[in-house]
Amino acid sequence: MKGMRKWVVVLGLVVGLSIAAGSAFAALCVWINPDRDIKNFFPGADSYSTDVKKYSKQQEAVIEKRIGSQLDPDENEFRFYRVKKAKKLVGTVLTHQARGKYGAVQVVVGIGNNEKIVGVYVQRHREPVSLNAPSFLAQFKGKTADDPITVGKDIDPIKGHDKSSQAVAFSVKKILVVHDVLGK
Amino acid sequence: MSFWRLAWRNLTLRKVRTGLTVLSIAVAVSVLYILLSFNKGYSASLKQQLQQMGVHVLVVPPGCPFEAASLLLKGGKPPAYLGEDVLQKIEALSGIQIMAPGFMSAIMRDDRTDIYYGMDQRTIRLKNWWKLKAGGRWFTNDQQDGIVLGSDAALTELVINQQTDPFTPGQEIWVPELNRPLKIIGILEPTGTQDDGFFYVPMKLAQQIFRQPGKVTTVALRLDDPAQAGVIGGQLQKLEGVEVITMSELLGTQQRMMESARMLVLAIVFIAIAISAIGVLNTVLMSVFERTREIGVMRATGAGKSHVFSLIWLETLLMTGAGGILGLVLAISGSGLMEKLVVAALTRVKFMTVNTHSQLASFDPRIVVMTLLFVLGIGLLAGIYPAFRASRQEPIEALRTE
Repeated sequence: MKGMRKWVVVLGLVVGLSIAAGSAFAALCVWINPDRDIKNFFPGADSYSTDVKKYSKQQEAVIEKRIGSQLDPDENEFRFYRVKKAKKLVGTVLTHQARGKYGAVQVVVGIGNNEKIVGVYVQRHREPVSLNAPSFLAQFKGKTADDPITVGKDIDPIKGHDKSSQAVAFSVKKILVVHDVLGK
Repeated sequence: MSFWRLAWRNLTLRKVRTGLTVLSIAVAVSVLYILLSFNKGYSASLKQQLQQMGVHVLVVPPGCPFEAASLLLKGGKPPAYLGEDVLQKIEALSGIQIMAPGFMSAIMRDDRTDIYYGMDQRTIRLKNWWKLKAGGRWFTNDQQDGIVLGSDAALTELVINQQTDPFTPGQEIWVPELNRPLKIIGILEPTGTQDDGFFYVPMKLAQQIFRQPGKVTTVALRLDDPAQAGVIGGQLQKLEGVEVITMSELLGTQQRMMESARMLVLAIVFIAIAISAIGVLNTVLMSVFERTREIGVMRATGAGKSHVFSLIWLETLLMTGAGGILGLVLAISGSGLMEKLVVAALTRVKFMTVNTHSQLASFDPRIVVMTLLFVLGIGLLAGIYPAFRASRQEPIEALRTE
């Protein structure tokens, strides 16, 4: 009977874990093209793994204070894509979806091991102007979580598209802060 | 000691071997259950989608009618269009309650696919179960500008929480083909169909976006008497440059396609189950060989051939039963997770529209019972030979065995 109880416990754990794993899924911004972005951000990198991070109430408060707004209700976890070159970690990629002037703006950010941005790419948006203009995105390179990353302060917007530019800047800032708080 | 307890004791004596055999059955049963329930869920969802269209006959441009129907359901660029002359001829027919022309086409971009549905008041009358979120409105004959988003489209495009966020008027969506934004005038409540992924615009605006003035891609008809679908379909077939599909034809074809896919998948699962059955046979047979002396003692102390046969058969039954139940528990508890994984995988496929509201896997007690009975039947079959072999052992010869 003792052996049987053990099996029941194991079975219960399996079932419980399956349900817990199911409920952990949230509406996240899917990384559409990892191959392209890894090639651009970390040339020579050959693989990546996904690290799912949840946050505590305390961490949530810290993130919200630093980004100046609340986390989205669906954002109950963050995905850190750890990029490797010959099995050695070279950096991390995170994605975020913000609201632009005309809908969703999905931003992909590559962060080096030194906590500095190595590249930013807007993978999906419906703004009337290309948000991937090199002169605009180049401004984010080298930024860290301690920089303001705000349009009008240290980021010049794409001319005539302040709101769209701010959506990208906000996503980058949020990603850096989340990486700073949860990523280590 | 009862037969059941004796059989249980024999199985638990070799825990690892028994456990692995049970696990192999459980995995095969899980796969069988999940595939059957996914198949059932998908069939039901497809049927629901077709019935919810509220349409008895579809008129589409010439070509493969089922390809056109598939395009209508999944979104895509139609290969041909219907002109205004055809619309006038259809309108002249009697027995039609609602004739709703539609212009559906997709624009595939590097990062997304926008599926537009151009329509007028007749489509809104046809789909009278459509509901808009509070504060939204449809375009009217007087107001021919604006866009209504399907619930999934709104979720993706506006970064809103579908359940909690209300519709906020005043938002806009940029349409590069018009080189101007369109005001979002409403958001459709989830319908559980492909409708959730579309952008609804007035017919003329859709024709303008795709530069096809006066053209439509489909005419949906609701008849006064659905039983007349065949007769009216025949009349429509006589028109030049049209293809006619009745809903019963479409449903029949889709079901035949589903059946073919199901048979293919079942064939693969049955191979897995056959392998598991051989595993069961091997486990029980090995156990019989190892217990030759024990069986000899049983026979020498008065147990009959039928007793030995029953005992070995019971062990097989217990093993397959446990594997079956474990497999079903895993499958039922994990089907939600599987569904999410499948949806997550499908959303990664470029240009794939995934209906996140309809349930992919459908729980059906009949599938549970059927799967369990099936696996028990397989187990009983697999147990016949070892049980027969064990019962045939002569006590004296068995006792001589070292």
